[in-house]
Amino acid sequence: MRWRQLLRRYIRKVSENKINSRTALTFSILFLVLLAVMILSLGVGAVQLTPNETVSALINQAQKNSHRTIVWEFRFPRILLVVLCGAALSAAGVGFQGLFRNPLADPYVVGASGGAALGATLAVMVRFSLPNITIGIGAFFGSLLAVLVVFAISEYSNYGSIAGLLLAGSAMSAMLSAVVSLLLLLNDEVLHGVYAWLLGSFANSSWSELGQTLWLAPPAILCVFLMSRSLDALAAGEETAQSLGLDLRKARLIIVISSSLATAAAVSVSGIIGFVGLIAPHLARMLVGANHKSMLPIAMLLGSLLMLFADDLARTLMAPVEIPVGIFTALLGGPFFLYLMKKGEKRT
Amino acid sequence: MNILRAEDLSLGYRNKKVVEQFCTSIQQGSLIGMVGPNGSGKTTLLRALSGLIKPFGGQVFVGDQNLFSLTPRKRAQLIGWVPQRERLAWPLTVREVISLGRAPHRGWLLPMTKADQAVIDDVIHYSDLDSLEDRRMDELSGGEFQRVLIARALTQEPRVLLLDEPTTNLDIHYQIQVMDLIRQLVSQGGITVLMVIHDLNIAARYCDGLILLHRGKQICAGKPVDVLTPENLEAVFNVKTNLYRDPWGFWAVSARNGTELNG
Repeated sequence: MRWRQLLRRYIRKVSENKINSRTALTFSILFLVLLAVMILSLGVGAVQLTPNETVSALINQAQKNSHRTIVWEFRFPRILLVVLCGAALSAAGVGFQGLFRNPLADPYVVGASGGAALGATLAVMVRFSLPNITIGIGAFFGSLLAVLVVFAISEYSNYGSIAGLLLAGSAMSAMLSAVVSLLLLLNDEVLHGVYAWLLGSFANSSWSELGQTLWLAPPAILCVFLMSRSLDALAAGEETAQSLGLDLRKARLIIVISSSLATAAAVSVSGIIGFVGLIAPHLARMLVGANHKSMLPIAMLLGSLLMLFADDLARTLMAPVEIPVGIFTALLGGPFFLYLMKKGEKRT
Repeated sequence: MNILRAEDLSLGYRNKKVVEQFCTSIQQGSLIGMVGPNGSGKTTLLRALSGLIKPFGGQVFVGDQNLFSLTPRKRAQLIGWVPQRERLAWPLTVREVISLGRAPHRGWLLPMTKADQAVIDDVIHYSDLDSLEDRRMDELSGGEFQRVLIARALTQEPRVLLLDEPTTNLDIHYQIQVMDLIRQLVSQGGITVLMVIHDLNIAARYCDGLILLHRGKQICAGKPVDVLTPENLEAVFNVKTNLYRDPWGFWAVSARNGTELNG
């Protein structure tokens, strides 16, 4: 069977030390944990299913037809979407942190999420009739523009690049969300749906939304992954990277485009979910080191796990009322952000 | 054979000219030092030769290739640059940092081959970094850090190595260690080194030739004994100096304030 061959090749590569064994071990463990949590999450909700029932529903051998419907029509697409968005936001976080050479960067902090939200809102308003993919494209251009402006300002700011990034990013985010609010006030028929979406929520997930993200997220993530070595070189500084032959302009452009695209892929279906892209890369670096080729896949798994936990809480804590998942990630990520700032302060 | 040749090189930032009409020609397999006061354009010259800034005018040839018409990657195969210091955004390991030196040969996408790994292993061994291979860069001492940066440049297998004050921030033990490594590279490895150096004693003792810069112009060039003369150094640094052999036979420079003596 195909997967056995793949597994054997994987094991051989690990044993030949082509893949760092610590990374391989961490990856395998996290992957299994993610699978387990996915199955558990499929069972959680108004109708509780045991893992056994979930698995039998998944392989189309459910005892009750309703189980099959619950799992396949409602929960499975949602959970896949949650996992995909968590991975996309983490990859975007890795890209932005590498680009800004700044541990505090994340799609939310650098204004990419805000830009994506504005772009998506505009797309929703301008064209109701066009296919869903327009929302993703609108979100992409929104986030790309926002990041480019923030990048340009932080690069030439007198506050130094770290403080400059935070200031420019928060000013940009405030501005973008004000514009979104204004747009929504002027068009109150779309207000309700969009408002819930803006707070970050997977409540309306379906297969069609999953399909929409599948077009955008995996290519974007792959692009960030292909930039691993460039990101490593950038970690050593822009001048060093250039002296090693990196075409700085081109590399930065690819990183900014792919990270914005990953952000847009997530934001266009789930709204603004902050801090996942900040926490996951940090934990990944703690676990396997700073080498991007190793830490990016780990960061993605961690991001998926984190998002899955947050979404499970959002679904169940006040059931049948759903809490926007963005609230949980912010409650967790805000203190983490402050902790990083404190730590950075000590170092310098 | 001349490996590095600069013709009428003019450099600067925005509209400020820093170096004017610089000409030089460097023999393959020699260790050349650039000396001069702060702001004399030494670092700017080095940055231009490593392709970090574009010149206002003039040409540089590495072998028979025009440096400024090369792609960044091709240039990085010929020239290695070692910055004065480096701040890593995240603590990569020693081996990860050194392996970045293969990027000009392997590109930014393809995985490293066995041959690449062999070069990396050789350089790590040669630079005496075997025991530090898996250490994180933020755990290294100043001298170890500097040796890693040099090792990374060596992994590029360049024909010319540019060093920006390799001994600044190091205590005397590491200064000697790093300079011995560089001397060894030149004598045994056949590599050509051009370095900016502030310490005139190190310049006198280790370099085959020196270039003395002042206000963006080359004052003189030649053997250390011919360049570090009291007359030259007074004209450039405004200090009174002695050039002498120390008890071990190394050339050395001692200095005292020039104006005080006049007054």
